[in-house]
Amino acid sequence: MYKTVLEMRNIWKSFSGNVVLRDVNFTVRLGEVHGILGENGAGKSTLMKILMGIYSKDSGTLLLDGEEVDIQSPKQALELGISMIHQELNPVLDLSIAENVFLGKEITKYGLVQYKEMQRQALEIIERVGLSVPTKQTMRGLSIAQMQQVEIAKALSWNAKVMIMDEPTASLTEREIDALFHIIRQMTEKGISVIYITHKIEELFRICNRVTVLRNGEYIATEEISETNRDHLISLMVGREIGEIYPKEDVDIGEVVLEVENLSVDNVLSDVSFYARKGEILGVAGLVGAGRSELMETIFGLRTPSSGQIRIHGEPISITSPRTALKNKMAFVTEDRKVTGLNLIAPLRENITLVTVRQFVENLRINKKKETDASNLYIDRLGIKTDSCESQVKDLSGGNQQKVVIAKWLLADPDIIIMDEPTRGIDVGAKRDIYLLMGELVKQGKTIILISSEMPEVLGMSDRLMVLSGGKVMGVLDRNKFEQQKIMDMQFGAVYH
Amino acid sequence: MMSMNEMGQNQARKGRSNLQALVMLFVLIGMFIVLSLLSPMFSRVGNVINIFKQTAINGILATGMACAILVGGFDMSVGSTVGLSGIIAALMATGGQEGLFLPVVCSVLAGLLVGVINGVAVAYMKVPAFVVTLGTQSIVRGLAYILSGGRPIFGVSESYEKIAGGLLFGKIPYLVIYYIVIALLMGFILQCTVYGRRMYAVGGNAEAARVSGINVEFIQMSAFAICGLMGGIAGMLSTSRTVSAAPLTGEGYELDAIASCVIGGFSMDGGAGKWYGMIIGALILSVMSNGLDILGVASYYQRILKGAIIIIIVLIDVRSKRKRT
Repeated sequence: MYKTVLEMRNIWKSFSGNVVLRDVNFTVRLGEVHGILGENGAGKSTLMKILMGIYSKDSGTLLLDGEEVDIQSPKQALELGISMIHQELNPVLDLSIAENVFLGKEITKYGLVQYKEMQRQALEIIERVGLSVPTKQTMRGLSIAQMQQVEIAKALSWNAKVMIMDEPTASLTEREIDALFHIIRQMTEKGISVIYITHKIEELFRICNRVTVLRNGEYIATEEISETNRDHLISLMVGREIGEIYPKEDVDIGEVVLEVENLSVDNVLSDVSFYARKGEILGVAGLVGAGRSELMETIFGLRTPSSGQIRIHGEPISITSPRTALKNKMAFVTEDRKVTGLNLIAPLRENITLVTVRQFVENLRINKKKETDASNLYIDRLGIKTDSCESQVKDLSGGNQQKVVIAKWLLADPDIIIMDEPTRGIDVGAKRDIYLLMGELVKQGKTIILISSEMPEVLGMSDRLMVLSGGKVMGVLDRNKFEQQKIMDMQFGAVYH
Repeated sequence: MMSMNEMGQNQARKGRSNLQALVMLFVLIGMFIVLSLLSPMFSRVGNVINIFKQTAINGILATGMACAILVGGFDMSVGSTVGLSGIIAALMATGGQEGLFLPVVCSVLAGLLVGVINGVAVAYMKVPAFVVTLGTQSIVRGLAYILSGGRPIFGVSESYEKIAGGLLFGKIPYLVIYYIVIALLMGFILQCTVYGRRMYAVGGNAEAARVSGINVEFIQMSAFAICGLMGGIAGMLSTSRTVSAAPLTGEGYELDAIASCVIGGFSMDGGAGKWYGMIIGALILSVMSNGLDILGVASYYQRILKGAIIIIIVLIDVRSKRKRT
């Protein structure tokens, strides 16, 4: 018999008349890891925000240890033992680890903060999550994984019974993910329940006991992880059978388009050489810190190389800024759409034409009619879901935002398209749209360089795969030689000959 | 997939800065009606023209300030720039010097130069706009004192006086015409040109603009340059209007210029604001002070009111943003 810790019954929630949660039921057992799966907009985060007291529910019941509770604020949630580790951590970087752990409940005596005592207690807590660094140190010096451990420690310091983790592995390396899962297992052994939100279905099978699927604000099912499989979960999530996940097109690969020779950037890249051909998808794998994004930034003129040469169609060129990269018909769908891809407060139209707005100029004026037509063309072509091209981009879901970034570059008609984590944090349906689009683009004779931390994605989509480690090329594999284990070894520095 | 909820919020949020400008237009009309009822003096044609005349200098500064705010900065030095360029113009238009070319060009270029220095420091040297422009505020004011010997300069030539003091059709002051032309020109630049679009892009997300091939530093620098240029123009006109210049002319004008933009819907975070907003904002400020003058409220109270309004409007902006996330 399992003991239920948390129960959410018949939860309804609507925003300005639109129902976003429709009679949702959800239970968490003592000491389990409970996955929540759903596309963007399925209601996962709304449900969690109700649990954390950030939103209030319209109706429904919330039971904690069998007792009805009414959570009005995050502070109350914390006091009741419910904590959340957000996807984007927001530590106070210039405060010490101890101060971050005790943020909001500093230990005081006669109104004075007791730093020594806080540092001592903080050390005890962070050691419980396997972190051993001086707690006097500021957060700034920590890696993302370590900051996350501090966040978990902070939750533990509130005596968390239920810990919500929102995409906790999004910016972790494989090794750090293993460490995180180890921490999660230790916590569950001590009777803490974890609610685990992720887009990576593979992870559910590694860490979860059960998984609940939401779709369009409705509760669909809760499954024991041992009794379900990947395809079944996907079909529950999207409400239809999804065909092959990685629709790889057969394309005739042509001549070499981009050649990079002995490219080095101080402390980041050393002697990187590779080429990419017409009609080809060149995958780039590597751990965080391997220099993948840095390599692409250098090729695109955002970083200055210390040595090396780049040739496009055989012509040596010097790319000193994104403008020269653009002139050479390159495009760069960057890693983080919110930071480097989009102007969130501008309408879709202005984002889509950000690169190419000069095309629409007549007598100094931007011809808005033509601009709107072009935007709408790409909104249709990429299936961007929006009510108008005048809507602000920040109101779109992640998948649709990503499509806006891609539309922006496609309008420039590039020959070489660099895509850095193009499907990060977006739902399965939008992922598939992007894969299909990639196939369409290489068929048109374009070259795609695909960087991804999701191994199945690079394996599924690439014609060749280059593996980087520590700023060096470990090897380039042809599609018929793809082996996950070999690639993992290369990521950790094994050279492939 | 976008949920119903997201779509609903979409419509509600669309064009918030348009909305604020529109709301402020109604506020302006409302103020006008109320003041007309309170005082019959207020709605006389003479007074309305007077209001526009009072708006012109601040309005011109606001068009420049709008650029600096759009790219994510602001300019605290613009009031001092008015003082410096006013003194330069006066020095070249007094003592029997009748020529217009020298005083006009030199005073306007002085403003541009201050703007370029601000812009280079902010955009290329990455010094925070607050620090840079607070520093130049003091430096430029100091220069104005040195050039003038710390004394006001009187006796501006008649021809120079006519630059701002002349009347079109014997009724509309040239000053008002300049303001309208500059505001419309700026409206065209912001609304219709690639350059204007890029200011919004840089203010909205500089990193995304950079990756998209936009010369972010140049756009930021030039926005500050325009702001300085407007300071120069305003100083040049101010000397003509008052037929004199004092080294402390323009003190505190930066506050009015910033207030005009903020009231008109420009976000201090950059990247948002409509061109007509800065006009409405500037008009609201001068209707307010004109009305309060007529009602006999001392200007000391007006200063308190102005400061409070800026804080309240930014507060509303911040709160509405918080609600949306």
